[in-house]
Amino acid sequence: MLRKILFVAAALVLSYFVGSRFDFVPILKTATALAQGQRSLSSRDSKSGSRPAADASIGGGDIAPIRAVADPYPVFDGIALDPANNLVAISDENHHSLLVYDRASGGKSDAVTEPRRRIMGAATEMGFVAGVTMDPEHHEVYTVNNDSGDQVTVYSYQSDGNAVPARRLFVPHQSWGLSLALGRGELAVTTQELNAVEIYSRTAKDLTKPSRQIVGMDTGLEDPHGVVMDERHNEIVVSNHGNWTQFRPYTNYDPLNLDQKYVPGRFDPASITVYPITANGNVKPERTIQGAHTALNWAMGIDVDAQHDEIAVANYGDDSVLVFKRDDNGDAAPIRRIYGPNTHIVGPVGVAVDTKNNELWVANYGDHTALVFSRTDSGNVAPKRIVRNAPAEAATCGFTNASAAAYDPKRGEILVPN
Amino acid sequence: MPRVSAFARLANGAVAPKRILEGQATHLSRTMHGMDFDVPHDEFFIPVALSGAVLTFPGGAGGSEPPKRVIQGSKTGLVRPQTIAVDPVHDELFVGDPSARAVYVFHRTDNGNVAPIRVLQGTKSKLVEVTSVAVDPVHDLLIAGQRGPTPQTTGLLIFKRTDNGDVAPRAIIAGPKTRMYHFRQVVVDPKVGKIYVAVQDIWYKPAAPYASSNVRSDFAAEKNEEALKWTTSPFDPSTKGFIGVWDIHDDGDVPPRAVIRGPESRLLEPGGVALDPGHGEVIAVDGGVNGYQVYLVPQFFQSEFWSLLAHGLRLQP
Repeated sequence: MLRKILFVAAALVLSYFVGSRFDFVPILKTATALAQGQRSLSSRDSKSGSRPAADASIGGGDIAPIRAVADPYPVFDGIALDPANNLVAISDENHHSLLVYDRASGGKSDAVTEPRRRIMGAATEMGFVAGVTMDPEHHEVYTVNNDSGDQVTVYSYQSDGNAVPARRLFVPHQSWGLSLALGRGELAVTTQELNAVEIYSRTAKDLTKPSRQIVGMDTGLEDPHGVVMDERHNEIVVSNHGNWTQFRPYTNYDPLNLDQKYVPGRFDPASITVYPITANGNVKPERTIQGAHTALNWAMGIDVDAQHDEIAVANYGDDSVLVFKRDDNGDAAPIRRIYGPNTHIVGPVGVAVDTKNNELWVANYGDHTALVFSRTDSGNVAPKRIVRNAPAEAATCGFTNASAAAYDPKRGEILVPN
Repeated sequence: MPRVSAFARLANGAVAPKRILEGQATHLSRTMHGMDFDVPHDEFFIPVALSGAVLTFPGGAGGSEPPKRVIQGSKTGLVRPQTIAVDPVHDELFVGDPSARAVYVFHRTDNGNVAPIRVLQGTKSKLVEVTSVAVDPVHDLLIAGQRGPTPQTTGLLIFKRTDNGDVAPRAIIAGPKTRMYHFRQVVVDPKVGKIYVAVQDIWYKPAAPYASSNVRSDFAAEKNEEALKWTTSPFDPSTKGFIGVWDIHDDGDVPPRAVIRGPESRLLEPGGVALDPGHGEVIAVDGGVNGYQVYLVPQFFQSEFWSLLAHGLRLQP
């Protein structure tokens, strides 16, 4: 009995301490406020009842954290250029926003580069955004939720703040890359888990079936990411991580499909696959860049410089940008590689070529920057300009909708997979 | 971005990881909805949904280090594994695969194209979208968290650790009182027999617009709003997600024994949970905040606390 009394007393003291003293994580407060601003409760939440009386018998409660790790700044992902209107749009998957900068932005300063506009907030319907594309004719910018809301959202160039999208287009879960073909009036979307590219009408909205899909065992699509519709050469170019497994519906809304012949998963090298621009169905690629000489390593965003017949790749896995000849095929070595400590390339996800101004842009996920190089730069070269979304010394936490954790008591470490 | 980040236990604020594991050679992919650390053998385990594989890394792995073991191939049965738990006592790995509606069990040290030693799968098992697995070697139980087609099958299915084939769960913790509608990682503290669940939302997850590569014929955003309404929730709507704690012997539509939730907790949509019993801490990984929070709750790791709570003595503020 004495033991119980002592335990109760100790627990009450501890409870007071926990409940009243730990309130010193201001950065988390900022991050939480940002997240709450964007993910405010929908109307359905307000329809539920008040806190039930049964909660009184439940232990724990509204306990403040003693420590927290979160990034209060944007983290860049996809990038798109509109040289005609002197704009650059970069997606931010950390706080679910889209930042629009002047094309000539950036410099050598350690300070934050102010965007022209930042589209952000619950009304924008942005989740964990990935690819970006811009429409210089209709003055629209597109981004896609790779997670947390399966849709492409489209905004006018004038959109700013907590803006409602001009339209939304539902797409399959895990869609990543976007590319417009304005001459054809089409939008291409890559989807990781389906190993597919969907083609929609440019103006498609809401629940519209794709007009065609590149999907199937022969396509060579394996965890596709970046995509470009190259209208000059009538091709679709796709970057692939190299992961493949067959798709079987997995949600609780879908029946188990036992009729499907089992094909085990596999790891293949990363690749770039090229298809006719009218491809539809289980189409073999016209060309595939793949192999040890390519140095491809988690190829993310890509861009095609149709004028100079080149393909630029954000090569996330080794902190580089690779440039291939557009018509390369097989185990081809890149013709240029921007790589090394002077480049400040850290976890590149987006890349875009500006032939008008002879520049190449890189969006880093691994730190808080986008970098501007001369188009033909190669080797360990410093960028011409740096666009910063955080002060130069700011750390990058690197979370993307993490949904698991483990604790390692030997090293005293918290492990978090994205 | 697919990566495993290692943070110092005392990290606080906007802090970079001490170590990052990422790159082509690691074989990691997105959708790593589970991981587990094997303390006695100093290894951790990760499922690879997009390549149908299970990876084993040394405890201190970083950079572009390749896995030391890979389970993948035609004998494995793996389609799209999303979650994993290790039982270092019985040297077994439990792998949840929602695409196969199954939990596969492998030897802990399996490598290559190997068949599972047991497979839980079938209508009696009620396994559908397996979102989490946890194993309790003390009570000899396997816990599979899942989203089922109804509230009655959306929750925790508890099996004997050694169950094999199409076996009914011995207990199901599910129903409106659990508020466990949309959740991911589940972990167990075997010492005091408690199950921790990272609940992302108190509302049932609606259908996605696509089923495979086809538009879902009955999908409409407005209909999804309707679908959410049938999951009546008595929970305070001021927060969406929470960490819930159940007893390993719970069964039926029972509320959590304890929760961490509310504005002060700053939890929005926690999808991951890990335990540090040595320091009395619970770690919640939160996709809503895009970060993680650590809670000091040493009482949660004490049997006396749970005994007193069961008798109506509440020790919390």
